[in-house]
Amino acid sequence: MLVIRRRPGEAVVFSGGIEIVLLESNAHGIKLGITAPAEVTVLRKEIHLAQQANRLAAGTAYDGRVLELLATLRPTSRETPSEI
Amino acid sequence: MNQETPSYHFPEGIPAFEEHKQFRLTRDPNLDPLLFLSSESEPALRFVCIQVRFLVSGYGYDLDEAGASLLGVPPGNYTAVDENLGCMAIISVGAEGPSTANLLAPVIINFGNGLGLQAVQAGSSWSHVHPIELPEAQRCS
Repeated sequence: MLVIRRRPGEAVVFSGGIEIVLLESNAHGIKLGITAPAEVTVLRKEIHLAQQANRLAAGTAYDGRVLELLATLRPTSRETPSEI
Repeated sequence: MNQETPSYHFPEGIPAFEEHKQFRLTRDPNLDPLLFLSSESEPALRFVCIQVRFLVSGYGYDLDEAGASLLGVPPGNYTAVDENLGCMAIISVGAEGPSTANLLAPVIINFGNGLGLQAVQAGSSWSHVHPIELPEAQRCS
């Protein structure tokens, strides 16, 4: 990982017209200002992770796989769940 | 929780599916403790969920001003066992690896007013790919 020390008011630039400036830093965190072309998506990482997880989850919610999951949740159960 | 509940309104949709605002939460007793969150506009879009309290103990989450406003509750810290707010995790069902639950972004439903939100947590120690191993698994009653 590249580590760069910056003070408030200083910036880093990326190719493609992206610039991130450190606006403020205090005990509660830092505030960033981001300039980027409109086609560049900028997301908080936790939102990005949630999007990824939701896309994956939506693609795995099929009946057969759900029943496999259920078997994991009920390792000692002998009953066969009905179709969803 | 009823076997089939009314539709819930998610004012902001959920991440990656923001256009889906209306979801139905269904339960099949044969498939406890799983729940199914399906888009009303596109029923094929559905998510396998589980109440977080059946998955881990001591789980809590924050609702900031914006999130709390969307749910119609005061901002603050809530727990997975709050009676008025349902707290569920969306599950990614593993094909080869273990299935995982998204504890970074619990789905919160206010049963009192029918509003829902996927409350993405900032700075949480919980993972978006929490492996599902249920040594403390409890069955829904």
